[in-house]
Amino acid sequence: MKKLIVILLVCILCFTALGLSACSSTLQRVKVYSEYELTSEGYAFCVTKGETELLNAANELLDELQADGRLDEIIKSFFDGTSTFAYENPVADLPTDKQTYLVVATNAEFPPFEYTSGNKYVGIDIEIAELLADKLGKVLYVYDMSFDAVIQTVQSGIESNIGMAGITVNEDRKKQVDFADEYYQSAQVLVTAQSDITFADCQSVQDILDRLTQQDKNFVVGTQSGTTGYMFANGNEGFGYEGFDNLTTNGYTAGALAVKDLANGKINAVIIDKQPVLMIADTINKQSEGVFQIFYEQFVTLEGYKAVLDGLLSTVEIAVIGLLIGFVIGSVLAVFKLLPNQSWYKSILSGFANIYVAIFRGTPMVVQLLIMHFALFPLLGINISSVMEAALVFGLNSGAYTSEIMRGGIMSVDKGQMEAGRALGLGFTKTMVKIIIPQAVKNVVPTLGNEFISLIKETSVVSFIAVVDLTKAFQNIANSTYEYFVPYIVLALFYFVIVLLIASLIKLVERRLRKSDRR
Amino acid sequence: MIDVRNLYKNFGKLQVLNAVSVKVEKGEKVVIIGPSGSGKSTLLRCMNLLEQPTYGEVWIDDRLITPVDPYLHREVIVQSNTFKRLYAIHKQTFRGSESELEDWLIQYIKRDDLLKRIEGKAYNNAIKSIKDASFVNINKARQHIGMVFQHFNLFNNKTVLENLMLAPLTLKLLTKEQAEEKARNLLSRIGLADKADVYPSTLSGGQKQRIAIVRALAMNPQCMLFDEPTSALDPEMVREVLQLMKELADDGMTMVIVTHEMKFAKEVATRVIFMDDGQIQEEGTPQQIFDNPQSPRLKEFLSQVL
Repeated sequence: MKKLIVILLVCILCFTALGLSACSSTLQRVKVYSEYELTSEGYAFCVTKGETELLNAANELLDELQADGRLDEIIKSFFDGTSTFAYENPVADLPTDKQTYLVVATNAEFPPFEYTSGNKYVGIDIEIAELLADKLGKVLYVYDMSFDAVIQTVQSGIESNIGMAGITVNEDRKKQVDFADEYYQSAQVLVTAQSDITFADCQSVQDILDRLTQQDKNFVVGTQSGTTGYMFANGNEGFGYEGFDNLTTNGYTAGALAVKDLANGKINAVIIDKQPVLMIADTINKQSEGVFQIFYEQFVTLEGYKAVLDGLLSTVEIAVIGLLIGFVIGSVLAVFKLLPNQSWYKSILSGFANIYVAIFRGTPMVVQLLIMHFALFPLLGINISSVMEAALVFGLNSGAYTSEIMRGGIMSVDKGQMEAGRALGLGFTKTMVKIIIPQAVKNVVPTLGNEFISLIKETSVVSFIAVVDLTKAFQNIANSTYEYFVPYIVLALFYFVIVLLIASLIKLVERRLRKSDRR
Repeated sequence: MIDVRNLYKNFGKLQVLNAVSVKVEKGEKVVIIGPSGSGKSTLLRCMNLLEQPTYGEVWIDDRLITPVDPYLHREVIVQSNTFKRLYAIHKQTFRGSESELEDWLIQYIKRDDLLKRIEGKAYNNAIKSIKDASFVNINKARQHIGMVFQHFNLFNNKTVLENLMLAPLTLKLLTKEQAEEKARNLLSRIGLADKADVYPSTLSGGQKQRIAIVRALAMNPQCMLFDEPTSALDPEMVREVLQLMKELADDGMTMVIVTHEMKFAKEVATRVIFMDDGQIQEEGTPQQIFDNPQSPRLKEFLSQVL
């Protein structure tokens, strides 16, 4: 009963806070100067001269994608950071068999068109490339090289016949390779707050450029790092942009974040690709309708709760398996440290336990996760799902902490228990497993519970290795609506309730185990 | 049955046992008495290797349970490099037969603790042949030696029945049904059949100790070691425990008992050993020890406890 009241109180508190913040939300509407394209260029795929079949296939695919709106979807998903697409090369070395493989030359350093995430390739071009490979009945191989080499490689046509690297179409290049249809117009436009009248009376692109040049360092422009908008604001010789030295420029990892900051009044303007920002601005302007509405729509109407439930499952799975692995490892390490003194292997095993604890306790969880996922597992050829990987790493890490907990627990068991077991003829290990550890566990259940609780909260870092857990699921919701307050508060509530449940579970277990103490 | 040979035990610099030798024959009831700190508990615990002796050997049923102590084996010493070197030096000058020289050298090596850690291959082989012939795994040996502790040491996380069944089951000596039947029989023998399913924390000290005794009996031991079994009990509970021990003795169980209960010792013991300062000061029948003590220390001890 008492617990119920606590839960209720906390929920009421949270929603009051939510309501208050929603009422006093100071999100401004933003305005996109879409009719004035500051700069414009077309991106297209390049194909080796003479490969008409491939060229036609690419054009056909682009037509299809444009017709059913999938192209816009793909582009949007990478601009607002909600894409879950990732591609991993099926073979390590460059394949020579062009009948089986579609080798695509690219320069994977150009988000959101092509970049790497871990050992996987992501980006608009990569996703289209995979569709193209499917269409041709081939397997995609992403051939990563420097940007300059892409055109040359495709021109020679030996290793690869198609380049997809956000390549701008120009006359020089047309002499070297053939270009498919342009699939993306990289038009940069200016976005400001609706209430900002600095640019209100501008009649042409030149007016806007002049007005920008007149501003000083206090005027902050946001862009998505690496995009044309970023080059345009900061200057880039290759593109022929001079940049604006008089302004302050901020680079963001996603264009949406820049627009969000603009709506929050933190920056003055955003220079960004026209297509995505129209959608982004639309969503942000909708938010004056109320944050709950947006969250409800995403969570219930668009079935965001399904992803959340999947994420919840992953989180619980990782924590539970991690705890079990950690408990086994921890117990074994604790026993290593408490071996009887006379045994010759004592120093080796306890030394091992000490080194293990030092390593896993001495480095951050995230670092261990990254090392295991990107370096150790691929090196050892271990191929398991990311969730299991995360569970394993959490288990290994938790083992280090649990070993100290268990050591304390084992030491708190009366020495006579071990002597009685040994005197009956049971070996050290049998006595440990049958007599000592059960009693030790009983002594450390509260502390182990603590470890479990911190474990379940620590799992929120697993999105580093592309696991969608509870936190990542809510992050995705937040990212697709550009509304962060409600999703994160609800996320916090989720964790809070889970931890409350675990706490009562631990109490239950503790009471069960204590039955041998009752008098 | 139990043969303790020339046992030394040091805890750091403290010497607890100093050249103790005891032989317990089958059916004997040996009671060890002595002031506290005299080493009697340590001696008992060395008999089933709960304490590892520093030097000396313990034999159970003609099987060695401790490492081989080279000083106790003439055939080992004569194989050592130290012996061979000394033999070569003294052979020229020694006046007497070769066997006299050998005896003298062995005495000399034992007295001055001259053996080193590395003494050559022949020496290692000699040790190994003794070990191969008689060494037995301690866990095996302990199955035949029951032990009863001052603080009972019942397994707190197990019920009384489970306490009795655990060892025979874990070591696969009995099936579950056999073990349970045996455990229930033992419990009815001590009148505690109704306590089979309770946890030890609910029992009185006397009940715990009697259950600890039958827990040891569940393994069918050939001898029993008692380490001050009544010292932690309230006075009114001492009797029931001693009664059970006396029944055991009457059944012909071989027993080694460390105790302060002199009356019980007189009644039950076939031999009494008086220990002080880590050494056996006097031993004999109860009549000899209690009615006709020889050494002044025993006299003093008896005057204090009787």
